[in-house]
Amino acid sequence: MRISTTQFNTTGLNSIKDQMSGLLKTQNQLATQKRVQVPSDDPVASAVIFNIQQQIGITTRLTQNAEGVKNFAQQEEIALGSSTNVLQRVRDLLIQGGNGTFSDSDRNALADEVEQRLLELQGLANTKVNGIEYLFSGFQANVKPIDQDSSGTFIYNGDQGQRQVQVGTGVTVSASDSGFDTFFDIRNGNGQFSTSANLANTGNGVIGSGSVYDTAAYLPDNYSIQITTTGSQLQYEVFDGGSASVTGPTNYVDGQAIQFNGISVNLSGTPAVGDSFNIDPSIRQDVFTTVKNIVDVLRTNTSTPAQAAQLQNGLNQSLENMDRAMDKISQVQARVGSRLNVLDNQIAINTDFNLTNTSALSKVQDIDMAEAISRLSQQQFGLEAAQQSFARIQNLSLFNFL
Amino acid sequence: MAVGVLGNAISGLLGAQAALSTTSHNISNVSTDGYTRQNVVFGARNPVFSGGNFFGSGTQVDDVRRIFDKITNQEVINNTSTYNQFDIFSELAGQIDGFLADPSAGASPAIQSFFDSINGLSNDPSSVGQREVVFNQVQILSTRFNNLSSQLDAIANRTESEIGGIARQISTISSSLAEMNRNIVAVSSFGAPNDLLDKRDQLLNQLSQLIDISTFDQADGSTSVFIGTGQSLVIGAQFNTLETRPSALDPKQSDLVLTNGTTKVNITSSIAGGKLGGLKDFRDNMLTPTYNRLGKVALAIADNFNKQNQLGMDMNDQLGSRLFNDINATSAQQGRVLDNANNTGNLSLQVSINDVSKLTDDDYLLSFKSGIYTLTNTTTNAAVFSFPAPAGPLPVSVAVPTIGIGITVNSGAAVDGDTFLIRPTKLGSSDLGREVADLRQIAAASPIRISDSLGNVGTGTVVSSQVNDTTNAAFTTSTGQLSPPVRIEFTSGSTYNIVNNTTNAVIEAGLAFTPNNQNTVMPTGVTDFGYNVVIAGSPSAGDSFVIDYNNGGIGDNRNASLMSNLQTQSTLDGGTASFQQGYGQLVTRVGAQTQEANTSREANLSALRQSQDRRESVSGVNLDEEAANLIAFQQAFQASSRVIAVAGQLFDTLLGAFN
Repeated sequence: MRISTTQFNTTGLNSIKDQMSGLLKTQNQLATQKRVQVPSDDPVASAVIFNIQQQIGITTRLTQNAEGVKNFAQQEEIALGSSTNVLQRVRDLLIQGGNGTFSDSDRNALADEVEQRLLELQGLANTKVNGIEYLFSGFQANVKPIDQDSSGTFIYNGDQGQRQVQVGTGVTVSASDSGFDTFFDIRNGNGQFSTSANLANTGNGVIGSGSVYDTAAYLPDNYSIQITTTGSQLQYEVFDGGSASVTGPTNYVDGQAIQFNGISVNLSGTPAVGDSFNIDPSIRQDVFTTVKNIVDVLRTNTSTPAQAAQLQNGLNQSLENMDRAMDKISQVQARVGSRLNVLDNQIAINTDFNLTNTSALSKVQDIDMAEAISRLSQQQFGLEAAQQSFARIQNLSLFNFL
Repeated sequence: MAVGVLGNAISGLLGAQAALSTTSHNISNVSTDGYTRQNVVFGARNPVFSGGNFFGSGTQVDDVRRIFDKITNQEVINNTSTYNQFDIFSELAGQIDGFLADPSAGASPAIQSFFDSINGLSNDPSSVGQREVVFNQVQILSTRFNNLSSQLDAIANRTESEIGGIARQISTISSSLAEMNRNIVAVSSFGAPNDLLDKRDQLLNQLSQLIDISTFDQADGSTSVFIGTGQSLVIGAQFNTLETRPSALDPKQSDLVLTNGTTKVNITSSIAGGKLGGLKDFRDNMLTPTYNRLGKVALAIADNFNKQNQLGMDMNDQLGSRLFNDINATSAQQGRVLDNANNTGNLSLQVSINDVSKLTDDDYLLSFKSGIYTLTNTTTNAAVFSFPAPAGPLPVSVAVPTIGIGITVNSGAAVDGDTFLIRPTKLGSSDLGREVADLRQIAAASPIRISDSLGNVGTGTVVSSQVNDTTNAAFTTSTGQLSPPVRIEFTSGSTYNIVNNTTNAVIEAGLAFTPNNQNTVMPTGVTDFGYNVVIAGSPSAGDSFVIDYNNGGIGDNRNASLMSNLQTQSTLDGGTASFQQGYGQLVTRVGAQTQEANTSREANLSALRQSQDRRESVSGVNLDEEAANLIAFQQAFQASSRVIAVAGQLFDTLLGAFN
């Protein structure tokens, strides 16, 4: 093939230019450590890079969420743990109050401590997270959740809001528990019904807390057990809320269970004729009222056997209510514990996920150093060869010999 | 005889001189662009009949010939045109490709930061600091989209000004070509004017860098040049010029007009090849879709966040307002329509966005004929919608649900042949802006609060609540409260009433409840309050749930969470892509188009180089070859000189014989 002189020049120059632009690109990749500099370098990879980067962004965000909720939950755990300790102490005092050797003044001393503990409990329920927002006020972060009105009734000023935070793909956890849920939404009695003795009772009959022995037959109502007599035999008769007789009259046996409509309740001691005992469906009673009632029960004067029975009935009822309150708080505590578990797990999963994603991103986006460096030296060699051959061929001319 | 020898020698001498002259011409033009090497074609002169024989009478120069291959040259011209088309496309596309994915200039990191801030707020809704961050991020995100749009504007301006410059260049070359044709025709009768032909070929080559051309050689030696789909640029010594003028539909875009005196023909649609074809291709197939897709993402962000913020309650216990500018502000709606400058009617239109998820990346042309408006997709040229001219009082709005827009006929009437360019998304990214004026107005909370009454005996609990419409009278009648506040009151385990919590008036009675199931307490068909609540469990007769305005609910993150969830929700392209995916698709698409242009550019560059090589191989000057010729012709010259000397001696010998 015939070659013109300019062809020599342009071909030589073109190959030098091509080698240079290749070299520059490799050099750029090495300097930034990235294979894909602009999307057009590899559009398919850049779509993948885009997705992975978004995934990493979202997962990082979810991990931050989890850390935030964890901080909140840890503070809640501390508040609940302290509350449980307080309630445990109150429960101990309550049981001491049932000690037959205790005098009225001994019990008054117990009541004094319970009063102090009540204040402590209120303080715990009004805890602030990081000293800024109230832990137990639901969404009303600036409102002090627990207060007492002028009549001494405990009121909840917050709302029932529970913050939900997403901490993983498709995983949402509750970030808080409202004071309503923790301290107010507590069923009194045994959880289904509560028993009490009529304050006007003159006998020393003591009613147990009872239980539902047959769920299917259980019919909630405001029952009343009336003590009657036939001859010298004490009898009892159970009436429902509409004053209709449910069972009885039946002979009364001290300590024997009275059973009707799925309910089983123990009555012991010697009640007097005309005495009555009430069985009502459980209602909500907040823990503060429960503790406050304990103070009142402990201050009961026990100069007569009837009053002693009244104390006993009060103690029984309070113990039941205490147990419900403690159940509830430990239930919330367990919830927080499992929440912390979920969070730790989720943080680990998120971290793993990000590690996987980061290495996937690196595979797609980053250069293979060994390959790039060997390519660089190869291109460098190519450029030198192109330059040298160009210089040599340039010197060849017939005119040199004329 | 001696005279014959001398004559022959002189002819050889002259021939060698001519050959040496041509060789020196070749040598001196070794670096001239477009130069075609020439050589001298010798022929034996006609013989002389003398004494019964024909005697040769020396040589003559028959022709000075260009060593030129028409087909190879045509290949160079075609490849030049194609290469330049991809070259300019890939250069401009490379700019967009560079900044769309740039970590500091692209929108993706800004979208991520924006969502990070929303998420921070949903974690800590009562924090003023977090609100400050969101408030700033709304501005930063808007600015980022505005900047991207300005960068596209800068590229669009450059494209238009290059189109103008190239049109002028084409006009200059076309006049030079006509001039060249005139000169060539004038001298053609004397033989081929080689260097003029070279110059003309050089002009054609320059022209092919700018636009695809086809040429036709006339018998008189002139070459006619055609562009587009056969429009003549140069015919003999006559030429047309190419001018730009603002397009009637979009004054910011130029149309290309072939002008001959007062005759003007719009040939924009038939332009192909060369830099001009590349620029037009870039403008139509890359710049416009990029604008539109970017705008679509911006519109979707603005619309979704505005709607969500309006469903929430802010830190001042007020219902939320818009975070970003209203996508259907009057100015935005009017900006979406461009009237054709040639319209004779006085119809005034505006276009609203009704459903951002249905928006496309395309522009639409609305044309009016015989009382019917027809909407055509300018990319596919398919008719997508038509409607009759609205009867009755204006304004009238016509929804085009398939593409998520509404066309409002404001006033006036169209005349047959009137057209309007509708660009639903083009200005979306430049229109994005922060509207929320105060960081307290970011609505992180839900405006309703549901309380489970303390006296409830059953196990019914509120599972969830959602707010659908804060323009409902329940919210709007008086600010800061629900009108009326509502109580869900169970009359039995399986029935409930909806009661006005203030007056205790029953609003809906005897609604059915399925215990231990999730029950939507305001089912379809009952009074719409703009919100709904789901209650599960087993409530007892007498239990109630009170729904009230969420005054003071600054720790509530329900609405902020819903905003945060928008990040992964598929809000674009008929519910197939999230904001970031939508933007990612734009980046990938630009990347793929750029890569394709780069690849085509490389492929065409090597094709161009090959054809240039072939041309050079035939027509280029080789100095070694010329050096050899120099020696050969020098020797011929010397030999002819020698023959003259011999002839002289012969003559002398002859003269001496008479002495």
